[in-house]
Amino acid sequence: MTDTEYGRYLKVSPRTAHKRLFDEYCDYVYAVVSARLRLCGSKEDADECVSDIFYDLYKALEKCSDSGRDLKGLVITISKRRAVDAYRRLSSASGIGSFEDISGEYIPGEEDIPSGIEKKERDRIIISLIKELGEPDSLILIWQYYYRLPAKEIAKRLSMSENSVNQRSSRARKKLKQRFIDAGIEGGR
Amino acid sequence: MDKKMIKKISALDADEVSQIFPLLAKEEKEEIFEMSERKYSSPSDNEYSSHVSGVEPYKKKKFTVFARIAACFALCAALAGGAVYALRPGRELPPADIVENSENDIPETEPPSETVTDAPETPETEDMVELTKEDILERMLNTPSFFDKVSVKYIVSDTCDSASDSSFPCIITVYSDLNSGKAWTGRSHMTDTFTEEQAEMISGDPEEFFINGTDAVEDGERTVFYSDGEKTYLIDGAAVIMTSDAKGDSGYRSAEDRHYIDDEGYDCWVYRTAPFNTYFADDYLLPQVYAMGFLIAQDKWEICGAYDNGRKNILLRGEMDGGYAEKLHTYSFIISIDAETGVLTGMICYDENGNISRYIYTKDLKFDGEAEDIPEIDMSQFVVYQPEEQEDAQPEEREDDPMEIPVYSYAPGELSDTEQSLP
Repeated sequence: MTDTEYGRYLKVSPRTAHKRLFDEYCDYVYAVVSARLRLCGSKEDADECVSDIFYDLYKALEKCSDSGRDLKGLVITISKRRAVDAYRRLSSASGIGSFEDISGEYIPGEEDIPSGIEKKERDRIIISLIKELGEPDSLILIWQYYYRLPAKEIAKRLSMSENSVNQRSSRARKKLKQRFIDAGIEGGR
Repeated sequence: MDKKMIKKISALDADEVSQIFPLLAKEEKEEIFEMSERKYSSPSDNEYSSHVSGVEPYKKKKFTVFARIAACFALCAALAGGAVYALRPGRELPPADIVENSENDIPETEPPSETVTDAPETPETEDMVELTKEDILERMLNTPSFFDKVSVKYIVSDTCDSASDSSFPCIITVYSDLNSGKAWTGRSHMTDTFTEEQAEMISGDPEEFFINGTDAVEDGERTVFYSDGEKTYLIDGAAVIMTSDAKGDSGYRSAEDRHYIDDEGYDCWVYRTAPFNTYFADDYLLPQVYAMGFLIAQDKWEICGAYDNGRKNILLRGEMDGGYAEKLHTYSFIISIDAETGVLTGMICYDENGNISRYIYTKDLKFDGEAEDIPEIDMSQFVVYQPEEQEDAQPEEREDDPMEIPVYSYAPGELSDTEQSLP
């Protein structure tokens, strides 16, 4: 969505503009927030943070220009900043500490991640390998390890028992490991 | 092993993941959206202000107090000096009326006039949006229950001509009195169907388009339906007398009452007979086709705004899919409704690529006491066919005429005069 489009919706009504912006970027913002808060926050914390991000966006776009500029850059910037703020607040409250203090859990650092095109390409391959597992296994893995939903919550969403979710997750990880090896991705070994 | 693999899943690009594996269900999204709206409409709920606590003691600085007192003395002295200079002997006083005006300009207790005029608009606009979807649907299905007389001009991008099975942009001018049954409806082509200004306006802001859409120019060839309260006449190069059945089912019925399921299990709705005798504009004055075709699935549309162009209007925005969308080339739409009566005041339809596929807007919509009077037509200028001729021609004529209208002749020499006298 561009600022020009947003401005048009804003003329109809602020709520219309907000809804359009929200519908367009909600999934992305939620993914960013989940990635940041996965270790220290609950789902309610993530919901709260997402609504804060959109509040910031609505305020930032109150005097929207008409330059045809894509709003995604602004959405990315505000999402990441707000998610980091929320992480700091929640982690200090829960005593988790900084990213570096966490042991046993992995938080990707910049040095771990190949940059730019290389990372994009690798992510596409990984996602396609996960997709090949088919549903519900692909969903279980992503919900469990990207969004960090507890098995109980996943079971509820998929109308399964918690035990089934754990069993499926275990089998899916084994399958995915083999596919990583076949595709020559380092994580397989 | 798993740790390395999980690392990679954790580090996936949010953009890719959100597109392929979005987590939130529709209800969850709605909940978060409403949360963000609540924060926006009452900023005190947001995180920043909720963290404010305590009061920082304010320490007055003696120097500042002294400086303020000194400044006050200086200002008073300057004002007194100015007054003495202005009222010095030999200087003319300003005219009395100007003095009075200047006194009136600064009322001590009343707020500025702008505040007074602006203040009522906000709550009124909010009231309009307060209408529920059910309220709006019910009004759209029962518009004749909300007024007795109407006059309006509809500018329509494509009105289908059933006779030639073609569609064309046109202007439909309507006058109708429901009490007397008298009505006048003129339809004519536009001379300039779509100006650049119009195109820019319509693709920009729908609200502005509905308020300020440019008036269209008629090409002079007009088809008129005229009802004298008893029968309806069509004047279109020939005069035709129709039997009017517009006095049928005109009772107020809720949307729920109109719905039934037929023997094969399909949802069906009972249409209310439009009592306007306006023919071309019945679907706009009683927009039940749009209510049932576009808005019956209430999860597919929303009330997206309101505006005031002398009357209060509500904007609805929605989406369509399936065969109906394909048939109408309409995959999303914005509809404008007169808040008080439910009459259609505007519509913009968009095709699957987001291009405008159809539009309708109105000029000079007036109801009841404000509505324009119905133009009179002297029907003695027209001569009807003899019944024998009609009977001879009837079987073939009626086969092609779904409306089963008996055809009458007219006095061609006088027709042009009649047309010129029409508004």
